[in-house]
Amino acid sequence: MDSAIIEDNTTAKVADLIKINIPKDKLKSYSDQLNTVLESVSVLNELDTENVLPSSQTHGLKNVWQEDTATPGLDMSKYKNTRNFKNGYFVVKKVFKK
Amino acid sequence: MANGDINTIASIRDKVKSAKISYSELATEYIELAKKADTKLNLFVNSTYDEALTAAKRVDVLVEKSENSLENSSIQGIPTALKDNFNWTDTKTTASSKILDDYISPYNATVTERMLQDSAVILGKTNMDAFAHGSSTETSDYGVTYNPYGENRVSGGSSGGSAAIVAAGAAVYAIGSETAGSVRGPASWCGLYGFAPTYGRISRYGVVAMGSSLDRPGVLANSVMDCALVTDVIAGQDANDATTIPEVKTKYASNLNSEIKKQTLGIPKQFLDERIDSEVSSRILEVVKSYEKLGYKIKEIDLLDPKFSIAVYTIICRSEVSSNLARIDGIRYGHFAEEASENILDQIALNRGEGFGNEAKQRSMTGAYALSAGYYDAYYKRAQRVRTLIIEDFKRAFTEVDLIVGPTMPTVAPKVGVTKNNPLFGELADVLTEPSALAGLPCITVPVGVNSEEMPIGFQIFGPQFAEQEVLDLAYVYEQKLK
Repeated sequence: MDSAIIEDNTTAKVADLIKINIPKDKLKSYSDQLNTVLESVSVLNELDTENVLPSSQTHGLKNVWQEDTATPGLDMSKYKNTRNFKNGYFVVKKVFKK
Repeated sequence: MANGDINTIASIRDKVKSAKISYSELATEYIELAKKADTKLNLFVNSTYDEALTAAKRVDVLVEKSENSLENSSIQGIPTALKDNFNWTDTKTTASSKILDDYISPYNATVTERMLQDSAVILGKTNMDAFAHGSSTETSDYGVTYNPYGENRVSGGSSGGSAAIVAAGAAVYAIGSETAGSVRGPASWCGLYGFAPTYGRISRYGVVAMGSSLDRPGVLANSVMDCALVTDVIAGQDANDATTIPEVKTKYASNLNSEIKKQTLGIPKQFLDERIDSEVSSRILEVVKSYEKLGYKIKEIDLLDPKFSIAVYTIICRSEVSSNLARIDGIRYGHFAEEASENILDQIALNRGEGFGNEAKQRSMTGAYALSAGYYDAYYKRAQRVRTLIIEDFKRAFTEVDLIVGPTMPTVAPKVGVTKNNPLFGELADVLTEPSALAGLPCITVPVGVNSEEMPIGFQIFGPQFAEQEVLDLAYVYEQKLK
């Protein structure tokens, strides 16, 4: 690629931000894919969007309220997809590094 | 081509009545068909034959109690299949990704719940592109689903398994979902009707999320009536999905009619340009002409170039993907990496690094980049602004025409291997379905014959928001009068 939008160090940073481990020798392959995608979306620069409001949804619903009543949560016995579930808690490794 | 007979809900009811067979016997027959087709085409991530038989037995009890045959307007006892991104209590839901390989649904998606309440006989969870990221099922971690129509052809995606099972005659209809064209695309490539109503008409609750502002469940079937009927069962407001449309129960099936209306059909010139395969576009033009002969007014219209929709869709969908897939950490559920890490964040990165396939990784990374500080305005916000332009473009078009028609896909189903080295295949293949998806418009694809290689061609119809009935009726006109 002549002028890559992102280099491997940015790819590594993004991967770290979203917590996906990418081995060093695979970084370039992801940088290439990301650059192909980011280059392709540059067509949007052809349009004048200065006075256009952004759309985050299509059907215009707003302030959708729900009855403020308590309903039972998911049955605890249903948490069978984790390795380590004790007394109603997920058991995990420590959060902070030494 | 197909294994089983091609049936509709009505034809199955007739068959059950005239052959005097039970719904259990019908289910057994379909299980055999599904097993055979699965071996050849790779339909399922997981089959649910036991559950199907249990449901069928329940239907037999209902029939006995009512001393009558079942209503044509229900899906009771009808063999069907569910895309593997719909949660179904106590069954596996993988969304065709290894990271969810051993995930057991703790609850029902609203669509699943409504189908089960109406005693649907669900034969299995169908293969799809992993997390619905793709248009060919080639990104599935469980292998590609083949197209029953052609040797070594993809079934399309992401709802490829749902399309192939219906096209093979091994289910009467199937449930899919689309974010761009994941119902319409595979339905078109497998010679089926594929219906996706207005965004918000069918609840997304319990569907493994891809792009939340775009995702919508839909129906793949052998008739317009079945699309309408199944939608009536699964659609409607849902307290668990705040984006569902607050309206009374839909009655698309009972209101369906094939009377010729005084309508103008718009054909966007951008949908028939050099990007579209010439055999596809000439067949589409023939169909348009046949509508004209019936009395419909045809008008060529000018829309924003679909290349902008590809870009907007790419950014918005991938941004939403990066956010939606963030919840899968391998801790509460999902793949847990054996390689030990002392720290939870490193462990999560390992789990996700091993569990996600290439497509989910590259889409999440592009999305996260587009949302990150410093690039948000240039990518995400700009895409949202252009999304507004696309929505307004359609609003303007619908002041000139009642419905818009054109090809569903730019080509017929390609050969397996098509996605190799193309990180944008999914988005590019969906060029003609992305514009309407971004605006949340109701759409249907109608099978309108085959090309010189005997591969199916799909004709799509879409209308303004909430105009499902108009869209279905125009498709019904084709089915009843032009087929």
